[in-house]
Amino acid sequence: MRSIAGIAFASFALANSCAFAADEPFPTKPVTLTVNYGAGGGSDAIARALGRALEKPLKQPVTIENVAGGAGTRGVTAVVTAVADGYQIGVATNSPMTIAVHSVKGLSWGDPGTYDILGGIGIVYNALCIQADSPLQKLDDVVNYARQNPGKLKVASIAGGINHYTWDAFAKKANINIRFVPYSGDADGVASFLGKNTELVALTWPGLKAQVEVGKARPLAVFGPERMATNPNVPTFKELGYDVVTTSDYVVYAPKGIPEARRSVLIEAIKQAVSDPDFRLVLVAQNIQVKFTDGEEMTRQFTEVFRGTAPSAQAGK
Amino acid sequence: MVDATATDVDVPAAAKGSRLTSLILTAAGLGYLYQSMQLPMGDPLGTGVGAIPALIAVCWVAFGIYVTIRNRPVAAELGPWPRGTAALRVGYSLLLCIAFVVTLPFLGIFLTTAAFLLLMARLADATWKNACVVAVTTPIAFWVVFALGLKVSLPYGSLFTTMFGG
Amino acid sequence: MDLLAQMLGGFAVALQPVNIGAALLGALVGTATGVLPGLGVLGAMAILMPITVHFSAVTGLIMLAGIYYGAMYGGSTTAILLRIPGEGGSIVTTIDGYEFARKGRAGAALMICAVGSFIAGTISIIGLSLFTTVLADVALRFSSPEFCLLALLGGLTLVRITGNDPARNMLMLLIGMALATIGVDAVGGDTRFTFDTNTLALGFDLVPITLGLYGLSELFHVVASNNGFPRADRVRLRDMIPTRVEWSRAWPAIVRGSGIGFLIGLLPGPGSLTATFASYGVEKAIARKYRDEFGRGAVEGFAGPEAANNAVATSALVPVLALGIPFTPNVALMLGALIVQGIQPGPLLLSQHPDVVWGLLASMYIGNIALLALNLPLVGIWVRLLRVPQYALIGFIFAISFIGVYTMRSSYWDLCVLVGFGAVGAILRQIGFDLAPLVLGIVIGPIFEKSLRETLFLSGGDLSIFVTRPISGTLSALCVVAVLGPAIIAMVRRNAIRAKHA
Repeated sequence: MRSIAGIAFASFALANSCAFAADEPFPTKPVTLTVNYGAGGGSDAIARALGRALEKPLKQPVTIENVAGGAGTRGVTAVVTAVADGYQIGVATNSPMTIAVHSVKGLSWGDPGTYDILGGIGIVYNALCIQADSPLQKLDDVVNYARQNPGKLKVASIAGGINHYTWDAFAKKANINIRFVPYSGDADGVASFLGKNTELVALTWPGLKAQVEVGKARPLAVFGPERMATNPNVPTFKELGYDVVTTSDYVVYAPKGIPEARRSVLIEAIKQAVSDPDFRLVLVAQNIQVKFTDGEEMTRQFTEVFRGTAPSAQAGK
Repeated sequence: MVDATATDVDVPAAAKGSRLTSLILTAAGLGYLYQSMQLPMGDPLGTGVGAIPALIAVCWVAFGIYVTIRNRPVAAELGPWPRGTAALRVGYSLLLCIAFVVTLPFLGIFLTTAAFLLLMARLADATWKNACVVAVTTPIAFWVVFALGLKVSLPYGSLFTTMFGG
Repeated sequence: MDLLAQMLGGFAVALQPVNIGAALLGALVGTATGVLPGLGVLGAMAILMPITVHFSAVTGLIMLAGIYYGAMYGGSTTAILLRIPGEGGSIVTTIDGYEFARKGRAGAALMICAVGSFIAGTISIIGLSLFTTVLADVALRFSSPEFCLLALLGGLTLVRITGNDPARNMLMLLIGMALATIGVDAVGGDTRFTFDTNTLALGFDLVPITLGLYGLSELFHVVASNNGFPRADRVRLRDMIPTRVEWSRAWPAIVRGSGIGFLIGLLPGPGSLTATFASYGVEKAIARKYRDEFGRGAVEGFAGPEAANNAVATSALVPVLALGIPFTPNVALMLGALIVQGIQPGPLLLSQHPDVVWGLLASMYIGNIALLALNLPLVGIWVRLLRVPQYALIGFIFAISFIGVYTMRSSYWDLCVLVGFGAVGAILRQIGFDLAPLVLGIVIGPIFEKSLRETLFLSGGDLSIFVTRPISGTLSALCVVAVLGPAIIAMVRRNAIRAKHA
């Protein structure tokens, strides 16, 4: 304990000595990175990889804190309500911030303007696949068949999240009735699809890629803004005439009101972390596209989905 | 000393408190049933968030009523209820547990654990010297294992953070 | 012979010094996390996963697998010595294992568990090596309707195996299922029964409940009786080695437990808890000579479940290795370790990276031997743990339970749950309500609800799906038998007695 006090004192002295300089040293103690899911999931793996990558530019240890629960909103609350001194940041996907935020009650935060997104670090596309042996070849075949046989086709997916929101938007645009069968995770959804319980599956691309490669699932289209670099032959919904573009994004965020100097130190560190080869390895292996997107752009995208889901989340009640 | 508890096990427990407990559990089931009826049952029927809880609640209340009315005396695995000093000791240790949870956010992991261990050790008839040794060494061991070894973030408490964290 | 060549190739990988070291290290860490209450195996794996990046894929995977099955070993230790389950899979062991230890045979109980786990591990690894691809296809034929019926069948049969009052057990099971519904719904993500509070939205996590109901309530009992845990004042070698009679009773239970665990591990859901209960049920049902010993320290009552627990850990790898689908978070994490190395797990894993798969399988043989070698000497040390002064031990176990539970998701609410269920558990036990069905309800409740709702979505609300599919039809029939069977048997017996008297 003495050593902690010692370090604290030394850093305090150091901070004082440079207090007159415009760039006060930051950070001078460990930074806490909160992940809004429990230890052992995909988000946790990304948070731990990010923490390691952030340690290099920040030159301070980064402690990982798992604050799970409340459909991912509890971790966000922990970050957003913390002291805005830059020592508490978080990593999350857009699902708790743009979708669960509507159904979980009593949150102290709301639309993306109530917290500070420092930047996006990775993008996941959502995709639609069909049984490999299905006679329906293209997306248009599926749409036509579904129009002639309403309620006959079934699609395995996940309820309440970005997948559900995306599917509803597509079904509305295409004016089709396909039975939406919700599962509680990628693994369950894929397993049910492989067991031939449903004809279609609409999940994130990382969850489907392996099955596509062995020829058990055939990709029809992705909901991304452009075709995937790894699978350029899979079209986007947008180019097929259904203007539905959604992605799942991993962002780093903080409570609102961090001093500007510290904020730019953090953003610079995140940029460096995103180009860190060890970090890229973890995300690429999960089929996540690693890319730094600046905070303003992410805030804009989040606000759009936040607004889009608000009425539909209410209508579902 | 070694086999003192062995004989207690076979003591047939009186059904004391059994009917009251069953009644309380049944009442709780009714409350749960009422709450679940407020939730949507879903379309198709059964797919809503309230459907399965309602099903569970109906069975809960049914079994609760059956168990309450029948009230069959069952041999408990433990002996009779603790009385006198034994009851006091249990109450005291439960109170210590509650105090641990309540003071943890403020005093933090080290002070709370130390105080808890000191009082628990005294309850278990340790000398003051031994109790102090346990109360001082264990929190340090926890810190080494959890904070240093496993790099887990521990609750240091608001007192500690205001003093050292800044 | 192709298989033999691949297996030998696997051993060549696994026997490299670095891999043996990784297996030993993993086994050691796993044993430690299993022994510490509250500190979950999942957390330990997540914390150590970053380290694996610095190793090759095989080495990292071997280490994580070592932690995984090492924890299965470790979990039984506190269950037997202190009646505190280290993890869900060792709840059943607290029944007969603890009673066995109270007879002064703690060392022998731990020895039987260590050897039983080794045998179970070996049997299921052989099963895994031979049948992975076939089993994966079978597992896929189980979907939502089948899971729902399995959960129902499990609940209906398991309420009969512990305690001595099925009606009360059923009540406890239903309350457990209801508790599990509080918080965020797994299907749609809506919150319910929270009265608009953030705290209740967190729900009731299994770990604080289990630790409270079993661990804390036992500690309260110890404090009240002032007798303490079973003492082991003199640890003689003779007390640590099981007798011949104990062995001859243990090994058939171990073999049966291995089979049960292996089959249950193939399916999604928290297999270890279900498998241990199933094994206990089977042992109790087929017991003849020693039937009255169950609940009072029957060897079969912990040898079988411990074996089942370990077999589950192994066979849960089948869906991952063959299909790339992780059904449990532990296995998902191991999959993550592969992904970090740039290896895509999936149906092609076996053909694209045979060295990884066979290296892992071979390392599990070696890891099991390592665990046995590690744990047999540890038995003496664990038993001596009981010689730590009572005043230090009680406070220490309380405190480490608090810290373990808190660190899991940094939640004061979980601590309240822990203490609250400690008190509730103590009261219920005093009155003669069995706690095991309550925990079981919390585990199977979500499976039952999720799969029932998925099924209704799938069929559009048509219940005939439960009988028209071949597997679900069979399971439905079994459920009917589980309900009516005992009643019919009782009636036949009554008639027989009446006939005799007439």
